[in-house]
Amino acid sequence: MAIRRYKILKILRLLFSYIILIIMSFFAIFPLYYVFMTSFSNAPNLISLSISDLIPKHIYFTAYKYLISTNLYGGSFPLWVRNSLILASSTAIISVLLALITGYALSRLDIPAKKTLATFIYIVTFFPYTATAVPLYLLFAKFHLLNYIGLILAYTPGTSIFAAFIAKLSIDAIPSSYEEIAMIDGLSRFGAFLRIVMRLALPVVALTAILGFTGAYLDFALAYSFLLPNVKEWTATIGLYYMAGLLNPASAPQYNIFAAGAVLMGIPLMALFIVSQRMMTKAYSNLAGVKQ
Amino acid sequence: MNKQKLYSFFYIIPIVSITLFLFIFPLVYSLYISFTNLSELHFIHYNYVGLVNYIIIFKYGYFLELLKNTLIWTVGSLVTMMSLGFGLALLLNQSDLKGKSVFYAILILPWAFPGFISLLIWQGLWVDPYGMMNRLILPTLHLPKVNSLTSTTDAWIELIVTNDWLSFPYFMTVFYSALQSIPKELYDIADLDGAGILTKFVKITLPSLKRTIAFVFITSFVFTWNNFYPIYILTGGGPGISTETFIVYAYQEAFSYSNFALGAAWSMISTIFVIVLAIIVIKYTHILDSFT
Repeated sequence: MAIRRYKILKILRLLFSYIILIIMSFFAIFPLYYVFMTSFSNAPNLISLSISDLIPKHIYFTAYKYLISTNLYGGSFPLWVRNSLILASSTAIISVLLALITGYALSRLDIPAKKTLATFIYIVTFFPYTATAVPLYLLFAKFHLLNYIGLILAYTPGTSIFAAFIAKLSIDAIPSSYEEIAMIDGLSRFGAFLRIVMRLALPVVALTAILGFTGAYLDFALAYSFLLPNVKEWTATIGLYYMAGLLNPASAPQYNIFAAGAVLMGIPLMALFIVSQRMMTKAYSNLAGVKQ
Repeated sequence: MNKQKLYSFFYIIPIVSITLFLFIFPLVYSLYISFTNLSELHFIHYNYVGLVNYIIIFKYGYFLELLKNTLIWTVGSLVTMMSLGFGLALLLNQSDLKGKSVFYAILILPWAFPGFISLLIWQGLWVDPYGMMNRLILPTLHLPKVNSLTSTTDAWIELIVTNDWLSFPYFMTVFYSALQSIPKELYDIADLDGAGILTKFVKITLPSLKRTIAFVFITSFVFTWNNFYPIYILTGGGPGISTETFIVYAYQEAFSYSNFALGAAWSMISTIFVIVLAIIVIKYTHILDSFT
């Protein structure tokens, strides 16, 4: 009797679990599925987007063609993506250099008040771009830095400080005798840093690059406040915000064009996220191993 | 030795100078601006006006209203996100459940897809009356329609449901990996003692996860408190200012209404909160101990 009751309970428990998991899976996937299907439909706006568009009979590529070839609002989607790529790659490169130099200093060198310094710069990572947007805007307006240089400067610290701490831990794991030997062989300390440490800390370099890249690529708040007046300098996020009809609803393009933009921009970044997640887990588990 | 120390400073100069220039300097400058009347009307010739901006903030009840909103936003989001993530982690952790990796791969998607783009998509879903939410989903589920333009409750429902969608995968992942690190033997022994599911949960699972829950709660509290995009994109703080939080309001005062001085004053208040929260995190989680 007891075993049978146990079996029924088990079936009920599993049934309940599957139902909840299936409902949550629908919830998780719906908005993405919806925008994906919209991008392949020819529905010009939200009203005309019908339920039958969610299970399409025809696939239209018109939205994608339009997005790639047509001028929008005085700019164009490829131009905005190009701008974002320039900004994001520059941020990534500077973040890597800054993070590794700082991580190296924190790990290897004898710096007075190291702990205070570390706490102080760590607090900065609690400030999202949006929290410092107003102060940065006011200051940069004074120095004529409301441009790409200003944006790259503003994007760098957040990522590089966080990455500097990870870099510090992984540089701790590289035996310092490697550099000493290299320095005996005639490399300068900075040369040893570039040739030995950078190479051995390659996973951290890659992780920092990805974090810096996606952080800058997906920023909207700062880019919007710095670049709004000049449409040709817009980034892809401002472009998407405009295409979603939030900037100037009257002149926004058709809704399926926005959907196509969201898909084109979202998928590569999603891939990058998954890669960086794997690397992050790996970095942390390596570090856990080092500490023991 | 002294020369060595001087040399070490070179490695630390970049991060220190960038922190000073991009963090301390803007804050000091916007503290100054917050005592002036800088706005679109007085952009070049602005004057010192003393505490006027702060008097506006505190005297007319904006401060308390925004504090209340920020708390509703943070606590409301956190409680629902954490319970959802925890519940799903528990479901996925059942050893006799099949297709775990499939469910996991689907449920992780909202986290992997870039949040800013997801928010633009959700904005389109919630638009009343054309969006899919009010036209398809809510009627199908026999739920009342949501209109965030007129009802504060509806606006909060919209914000918190969307934020749950964005964040539950993170909590699910963290709790899932924490659950898997609990030794199986503990449960086997409990089974021998004839403990029921509830007893095992209260006596083994919860105590083992206490530290993870505390860590996740504190770090996510800070993150949600500072989370700008959901409110900025979905409701814009409306209706009225009933869903405005500190960080959103500071941004809007400056960039939507061009009240730069008032925006600077709000940024100051928001900054004080962030620093206090950051210090609590650093103290409580000892996050820096492993780094220094």
